[in-house]
Amino acid sequence: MKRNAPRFVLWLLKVFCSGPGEESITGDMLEQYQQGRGRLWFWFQGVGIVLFRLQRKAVQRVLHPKTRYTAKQNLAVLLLLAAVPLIFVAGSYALQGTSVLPLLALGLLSGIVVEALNLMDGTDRIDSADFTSPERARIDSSQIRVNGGPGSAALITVLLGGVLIALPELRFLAAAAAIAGPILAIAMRLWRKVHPPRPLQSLHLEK
Amino acid sequence: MGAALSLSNFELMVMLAIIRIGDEAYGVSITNEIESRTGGAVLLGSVYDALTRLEEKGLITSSLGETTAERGGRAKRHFRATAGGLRLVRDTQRSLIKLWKGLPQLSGGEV
Repeated sequence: MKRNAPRFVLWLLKVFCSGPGEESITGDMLEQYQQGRGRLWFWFQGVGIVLFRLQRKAVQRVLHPKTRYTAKQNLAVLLLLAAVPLIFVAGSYALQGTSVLPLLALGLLSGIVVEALNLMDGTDRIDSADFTSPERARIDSSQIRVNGGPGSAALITVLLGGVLIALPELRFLAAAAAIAGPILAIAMRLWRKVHPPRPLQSLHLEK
Repeated sequence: MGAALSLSNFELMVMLAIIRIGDEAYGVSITNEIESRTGGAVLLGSVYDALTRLEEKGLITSSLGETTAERGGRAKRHFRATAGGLRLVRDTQRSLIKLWKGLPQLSGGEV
């Protein structure tokens, strides 16, 4: 008998694994699910695939030097955005007396893991990047490529939203989390426009 | 001059699984092969990630296979090791054997 796979995970896979040849990933997941794997397995593997894809996309994204954020800026953005679900979760805890700390830990942990992976990758890429142009950074730890702040924030929102959707009693928080993510992302972009990063020329990176 | 290709531990496992399975190597069968041989749980996402890297390095190739209703009409993606991939696995095996040779028996966490 055909079973219905979790729709939210299928949506995630559709969004993050829609490139050429990537549909087979969803096919593999569905095949396993129809052969008897559980819903929890589907959730776990699906979120895992999305995490790896996000990490890959963040790593491959080459940013113009002007839009490159430093590690500190990324960390600040990450913490700021992690604080939003924290407020919602804390509010829910205060109102309902429900223990939602594991959900909070999941959201925070996933963001931190992605950010840590990005940090490590940035360190690796410093040697392989094209730094031949004089206006580009050469070796400066503050200019190591660190992407994924906004990606991590989106990930936290999606993960937390997904978990909340799975728990009917907390469903109202899912909508709030889904709205808060984009609003903060837009606010961050506007803030970056008003406070542009320092031009690389002023970093005195010459020999 | 391009940097010499190398394989991470997990990439080597994936390459070996592909070689072992042969023509029927696709995401799930590769994951199952690694799980059954190593006895550890493997995340599908990590396998797909490794497969993407290996394909980018030119060590494997892929082709789309048949679609079934069970898979929601989505095609299977089959993987095969290229000649370069096989050569690199062989080189890695030689290097590892050299490293293992003459190593005293490992016991109690001390050499």
